[in-house]
Amino acid sequence: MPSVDYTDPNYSGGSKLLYKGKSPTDVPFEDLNDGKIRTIQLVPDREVNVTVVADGFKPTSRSITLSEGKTEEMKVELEPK
Amino acid sequence: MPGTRPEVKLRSSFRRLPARRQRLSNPLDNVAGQDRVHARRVGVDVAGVLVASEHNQHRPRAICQLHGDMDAAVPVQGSEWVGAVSHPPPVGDPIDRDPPRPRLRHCHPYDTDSAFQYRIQKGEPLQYARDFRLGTLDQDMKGLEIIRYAAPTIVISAVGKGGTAIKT
Repeated sequence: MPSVDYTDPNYSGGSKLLYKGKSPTDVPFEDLNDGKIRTIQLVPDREVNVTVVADGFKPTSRSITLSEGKTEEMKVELEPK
Repeated sequence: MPGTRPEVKLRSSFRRLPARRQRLSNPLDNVAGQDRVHARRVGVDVAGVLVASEHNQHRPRAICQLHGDMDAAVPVQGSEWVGAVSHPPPVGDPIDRDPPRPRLRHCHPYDTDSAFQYRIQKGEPLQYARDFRLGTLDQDMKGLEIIRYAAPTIVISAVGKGGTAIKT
């Protein structure tokens, strides 16, 4: 499973939050065990940046803003280094 | 002269309060979108009976619970939707102050499908944090405001070029 950097500049507890595998994070992710992870407790209407990192691939970032209750599937295609 | 803390059975000391439901037109600061907004806002009055103290790192600590019915249409784990927990007081710890004052350390929402913003007092800007500090409770606390949103969710997956699976 690639690791994911999750950045929310509006988060009062820090500027950068990190999900790596099963490590705990301030803003949690849940590993869905099917190659996907999901965010938990996102505040709506705030732009967040998601950076996916995997060995042998270039880090790839996406920005996204979601309104309340929306679910968005983000499939990130990584380029080899 | 310092005394010795007797064995104390910790207990939830806050009374359950009725919710005040309110529909907002624009609950988030700095939010332009107007096509959503079914946010729930509840003013929480916290009333407590002092059960333990936490004056410094060597002193006993309190367990306190906040209760509220946030939204009757969307119950969150029954009606217990947020709590404040610290560590129980060790038995036999010396105390030299009476009465003890509990400190509500971290207020933590339990519901993983919701997002929360809060302000401790009316007029303060809304803040976002997964838990937050309430300070020392030496009297009833009123005006804490917590806004709950249905959390948006990003489901993230990654593939290589052409949709090939990435093995790490």
